[in-house]
Amino acid sequence: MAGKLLDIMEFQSRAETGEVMEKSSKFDIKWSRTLRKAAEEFGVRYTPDSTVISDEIADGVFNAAVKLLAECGIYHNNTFRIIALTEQEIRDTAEFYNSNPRVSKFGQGDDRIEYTYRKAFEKKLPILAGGPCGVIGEDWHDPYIRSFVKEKTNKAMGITGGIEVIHGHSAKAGTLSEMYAAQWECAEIQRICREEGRPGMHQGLLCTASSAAASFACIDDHNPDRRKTWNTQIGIHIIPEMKIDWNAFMMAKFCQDRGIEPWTSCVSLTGAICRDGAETAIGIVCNALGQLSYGHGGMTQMFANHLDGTWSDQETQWAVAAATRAFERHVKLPIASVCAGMEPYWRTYAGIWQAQAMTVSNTINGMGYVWIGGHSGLETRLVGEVMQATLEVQDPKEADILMNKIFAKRNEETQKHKESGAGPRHFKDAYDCEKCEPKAALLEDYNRVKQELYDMGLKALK
Amino acid sequence: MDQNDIAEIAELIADLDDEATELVQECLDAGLDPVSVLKDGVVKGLEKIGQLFEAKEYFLAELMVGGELAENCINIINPHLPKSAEGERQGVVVIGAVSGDLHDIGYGLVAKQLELAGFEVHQLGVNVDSMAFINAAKEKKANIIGLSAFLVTTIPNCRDVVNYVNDMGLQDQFKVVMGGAETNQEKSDMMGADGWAPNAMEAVTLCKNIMAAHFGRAA
Repeated sequence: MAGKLLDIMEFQSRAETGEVMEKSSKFDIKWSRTLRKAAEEFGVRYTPDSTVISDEIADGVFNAAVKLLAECGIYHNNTFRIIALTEQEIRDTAEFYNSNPRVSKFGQGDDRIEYTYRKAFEKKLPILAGGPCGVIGEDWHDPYIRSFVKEKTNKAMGITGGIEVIHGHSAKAGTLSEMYAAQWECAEIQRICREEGRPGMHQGLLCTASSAAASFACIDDHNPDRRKTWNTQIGIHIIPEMKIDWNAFMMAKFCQDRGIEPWTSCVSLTGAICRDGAETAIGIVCNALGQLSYGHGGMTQMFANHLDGTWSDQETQWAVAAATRAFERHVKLPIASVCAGMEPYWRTYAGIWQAQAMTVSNTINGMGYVWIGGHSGLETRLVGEVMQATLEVQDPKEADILMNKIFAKRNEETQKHKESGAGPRHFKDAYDCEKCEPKAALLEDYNRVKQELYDMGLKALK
Repeated sequence: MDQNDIAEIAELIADLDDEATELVQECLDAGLDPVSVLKDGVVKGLEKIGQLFEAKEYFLAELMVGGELAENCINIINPHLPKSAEGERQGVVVIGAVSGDLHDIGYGLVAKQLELAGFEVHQLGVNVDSMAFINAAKEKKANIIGLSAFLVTTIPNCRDVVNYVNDMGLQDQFKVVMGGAETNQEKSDMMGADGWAPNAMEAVTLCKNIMAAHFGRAA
């Protein structure tokens, strides 16, 4: 069976004729009940001591997600209706990808890259496409972006952050200022890439623009100041958990028409509707299958966090790992992962540890590429080095021992940092913005974490 | 029927058991005090759900189911309540995700926690136009307008709501609070909001403090 994809226009009629559900909370309740039953039926259980995901768990996650999507569908926020998909349609979509593993190509010249799917423990290095994320100030936008562009080990930028205020205008969704800020940002990034001799570098998710109009206004293959079809991605994602609107569909259609790789992004929250890592993994896969059904994307990012906004711990990483492995076995798409710490710890010793916990577990479990790798160019370099070293970890038992040590260290340093009340290190304190070079304190943290990872057993780390 | 049956209502609600509505009706039919049915039955049950949520035994889904069950019970009790009992609520909140923002889990959780704490909460949904917040606040006679904004580009829409409140002379009538993943106290101040909370539990404290400071309710 080669599988097949649904035409995106099919979603118009389903969104207009599906079951009416006036309150989205009714959908949430149905979704959570079905999710729990599906997790139980397919025996998906979170195993806190092991982040190496078995084939059995991966299969259970996939089948539970198919059942969940088939029974609940996708909720349309504008029409208050359910977009229903049959189990056969969902399996056809998965099989379409499974039979034809996708290669997603970006960039030009020396910076041409190809994202391909990768298996757990595969000795193929995930692509390092660490991009700057978070909210960036106008006064440090250039050195922040530049720190990632000038990092030669970094093959692309999976994202380029968001600008909050530009020339006194707040970037406000659905208004002129959103378009103004996004276009300013596009021009700046193209200039920085040209200046650093990397005009062909992929720039990932267009972040500041969130509405369809502003996103479309940022892409022009003939304007040097705009994004190009070959260096950009537009978000078409379903909001957790399983809600969509016309904006996402319109952007998906635009991507299909222009040959732009859509940004398929799957996030689930542990502690909200999903109770634990197991349910979160199923939620992520359900989300991904839903997006592929209309978006037809060639990659997907997977991420989990707790309801309080924390991530990078064992449970959220387990969820990402289980979802990644489910896709490895049943869909075969390149999976993008985050390898970066939480906001209160950005560019600190604790934050770098959080990033490495993610890097090691993601690399072991089949990550295809990194789209956020730390919060500066130097941290992205470390993510690349740790990925490379992790390829040498081939024994599942050894992998679990190593990961458990790293998670313990991550937890210890996170707690210490929290208790100290120190907060994040601003980019301007981490980097010399004139020279765009890391300052001594960040370099010291980088070297310290590297040495400690080596001492912990990551012996291939040079 | 007696006080034990009212205590049973609390247990049924905490267990998310639909039979709570039937027992509420039976208690009222038997002539038990409706205020006690509300306070010692329904509200007590909601408090237990809140405790189970804090203990991480319950999750958002349970809060939603429990909230829905309690709402059904309250609808049965309301016609029986004396006028004086109507003012027992902590305050009235209208809440939603601002224009352009589709994230509903965060504000949904805040709404449920506020309900558990005794507020009358009206959820307006996602991608809510700025003026729709004002219209809903007027219609529901709200004290507090809650704004949820998760994206860098949707946070500025909070200022539109605040500006409407100020420019329409409604500052004494409504207080505006905000929250969301990319927000913080500094951004809340920039938007001119009356308060900001980092999570659902602190949002309850914030709203109680606002009710005490501006509307004469005990915090």
